[in-house]
Order: sequence, then C-alpha cells, then structure tokens
Amino acid sequence: MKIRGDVELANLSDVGCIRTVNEDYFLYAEPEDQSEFMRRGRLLVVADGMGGHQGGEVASGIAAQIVRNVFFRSERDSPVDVLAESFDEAQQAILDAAGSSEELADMGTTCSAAIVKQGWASFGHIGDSRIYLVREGSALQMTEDHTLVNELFSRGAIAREEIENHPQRNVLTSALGSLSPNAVINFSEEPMPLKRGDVLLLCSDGLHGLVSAEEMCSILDGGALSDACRSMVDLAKRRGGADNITVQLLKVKEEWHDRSPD
Amino acid sequence: MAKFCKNGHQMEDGWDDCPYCQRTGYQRQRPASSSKTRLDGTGLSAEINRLDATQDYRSLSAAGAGGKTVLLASIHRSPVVGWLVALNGVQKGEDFRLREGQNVLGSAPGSDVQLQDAAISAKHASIRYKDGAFSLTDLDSTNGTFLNDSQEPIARETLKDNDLLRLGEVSLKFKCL
Repeated sequence: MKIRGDVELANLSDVGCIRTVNEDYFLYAEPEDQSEFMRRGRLLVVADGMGGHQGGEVASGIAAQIVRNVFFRSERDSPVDVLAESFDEAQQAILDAAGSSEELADMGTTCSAAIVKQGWASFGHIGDSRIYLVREGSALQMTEDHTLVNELFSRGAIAREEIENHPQRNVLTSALGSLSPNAVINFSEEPMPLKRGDVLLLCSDGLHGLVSAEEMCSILDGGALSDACRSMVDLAKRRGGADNITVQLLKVKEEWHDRSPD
Repeated sequence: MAKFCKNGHQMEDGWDDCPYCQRTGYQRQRPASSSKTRLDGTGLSAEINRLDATQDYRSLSAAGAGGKTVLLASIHRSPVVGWLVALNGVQKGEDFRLREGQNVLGSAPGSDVQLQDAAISAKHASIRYKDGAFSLTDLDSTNGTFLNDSQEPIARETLKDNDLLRLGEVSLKFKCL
C-alpha cells in the first residue's frame, strides 16, 4: 500500500509477555484513487477482542474489516455517519458469527476508529481502546473508556486513584457483540481540525494500562514514528506485558489548513 | 522507506507476507442493514446497581485478577440453570453455577467454571444451555473431555441430569435445575 506523503504512519501489535494469542487487530486504509481519497479520506482502526473459544481474535478481525469495507463503499458524506454505519454493520456481523458457532459464542470486541479527511479528524469508539491527539507535547484523550470503573468514578463511587488497581478494572460496560441494551457507541460531535506536527495515537489497553499518556508524549518527542511504536510496546512489555499491545500512529507532516486551527 | 501491506500494517523489510493479515482472513461482506446499535445509557444504572459487593463478587474478582477483559452484561447475563460439583481434586465438594447461554470450563482465570488441574486446558470445554437442553462441547482441549464411563473423548454431547464429566484428573457431577 502506498501512503500519501502528507502523513507519516507507523503501527505495531505484540502478543505481550503472558498471552499466547493476540486478540488485538488493527488496520489502516486510504483509497489509491485521488478523487476517492478526497471523498473518503483515510481510516485508522484498533480493536481488542475478547471472549469465546478463539472468539476474541475473530471478533476484532471482523470489526476492523467491516469498518474498512463500509469506509470504502458508504454513500454517506459525513465521516461520523460513515463510522456509525460501519459500527452498526460490525455489531450485526459479530452477532451473526457468534450465533453460528459454539466456539464463537459470546465473543466481543472494542473498536476505536478515526477518519481523517481533508485535514479534519472524526472518531467512533466503543470499549476501552483509546484515541489520543498528541499536540505540542500534550496528549488529549479523545475517547472515554466504557468500563465499569470509569462509570463508578463518574458517579463518585470510587476515587480516581482507585481506578488503576481496582479489581474490576477489566470489566467493560459496552463492546461490539454485546446484546446488552445498555451498550453505547460514542462518536465525535464535531470533526477536529489537525495541524502540522499533530499525532493521532490509537491503542489497546495493553498499552495505555501500562504506559501513561505523558510517557507516550515523551517517547513521541523526536525520532521516527516506527521507533516510537517499538519503544512504547517495549516499555509495556518491560512492565509485565500482561495483555496484547497494539499502537497505531499517524503524524501530520503538512499544514492542511490555510489558517492554523487554534 | 516504511513498507505497508494492503491492510496498512507496517512490514519489516525482510517480510514478504504480512503476519497480521495471515492471522485474520475475515473478508465477509453483508448488505447494508438498518440495525441500530446506538442506544442511550438509560438502564446502565440498574445494571451497575445490581453489582453489590456480595453478589457475584468472586467471579468479578477472578475476571479482574486474570487481567482478562470481560463484559459487564456477560457477568449478569442470565439465570442459573444448573450446577457442576467437583468430586475429587483440590476443589472436591465445590459447586459451580451454570447459566443460560455458554459456560466455559477451563483453567484460565476468569473462566465461568475455573478448574485447578495441570491436565486441564485454559479453555477446555463449554456447556451451553439453550432451548431447554444442555450441550457439552470439547474446545480442542489437549487431554480431551470424557462423559460417564466412556474411554473415548467426546466432541459434542447432550447432557442429562447426573451425568459424570471428566476433564484432566477432575470428575464433575452435572445437575440440572
């Protein structure tokens, strides 16, 4: 795949130090055709699967591929509408696949996706994979984790310090594949303008659970993006690497807007 | 110059095939549907309020301790429809609840029925209750799943009350509601 030179892309996924199967999946897409590229932009996805026998890796793969398929064929203009359509289809495809096989029953997956189109970024998100915008050395978290501890914290039931080591920190309140009527998917309300030097960072909890946003920023401070991916994954592994670790980075190398966004 | 496969995965210079793509060959297409999954958050309160410290706390802790991500909805997914009781081993006398839907038996932390035996695979077998029937399925376990007196490992069998299951060195009695 040829990637246009106005961005730099790097990505890496690692099984970690404990697991034997990598249930994370990720992908990147941009149309070759220039008019299609102008119409659709570019897509980044990270998904972290769970559940069932072999189900987790299947669920994350289905989610990412369906989001990609819809990205390439959707009739909608708004990136957020494209993401909403793609998440709906991914949800249905995972439920269909889970219902067709004992081994895949009860599988599910997180899914965090970004579309960058003509200098503007839109996001769709379910679960606890994250999207950050790293700008001028600071990381802005664009997604809220759909986790029980996050919900308990927002209700004031637990303190912020309790989140990291809470025994139920791995319990999700929403994921693709869940039949719960309480499952939610979040989409960005307004597209965000990107400027030169910005980095979009998508990662699974295998990274953000062990490496802080501040550490990610300092790793990103200079050097090639592919080296930064490796450094982040290696740091998570040095800290135990209990889960699969996936990170995807997209850096803006040109100024896309006449006037730099504030 | 960085190299990327057709799915945008970064490739090392020496790679001819992308290892990420080989893992997942899922390319299924389906027609656009009108299914709506964007739902509001009402009802989550009730789901969380059911999570008092005494109820199902053991399974929640086990899920967290294993570092394995689980869904809140799957913890509270369904009513109890049967039990397994360990007849030997370190868990002798311990009972395990079986719920509607799928129950995974294995040594992995966070398993629905977590069994402690070196000969039991992480995800060894599953018991599924659907439409009034229990089915026992071996999940490609290393040492097989056995039912009653048979010396042949099973692939999938229907369970009836008082059946005897053997996984590794552990024997379990099955009781349905």
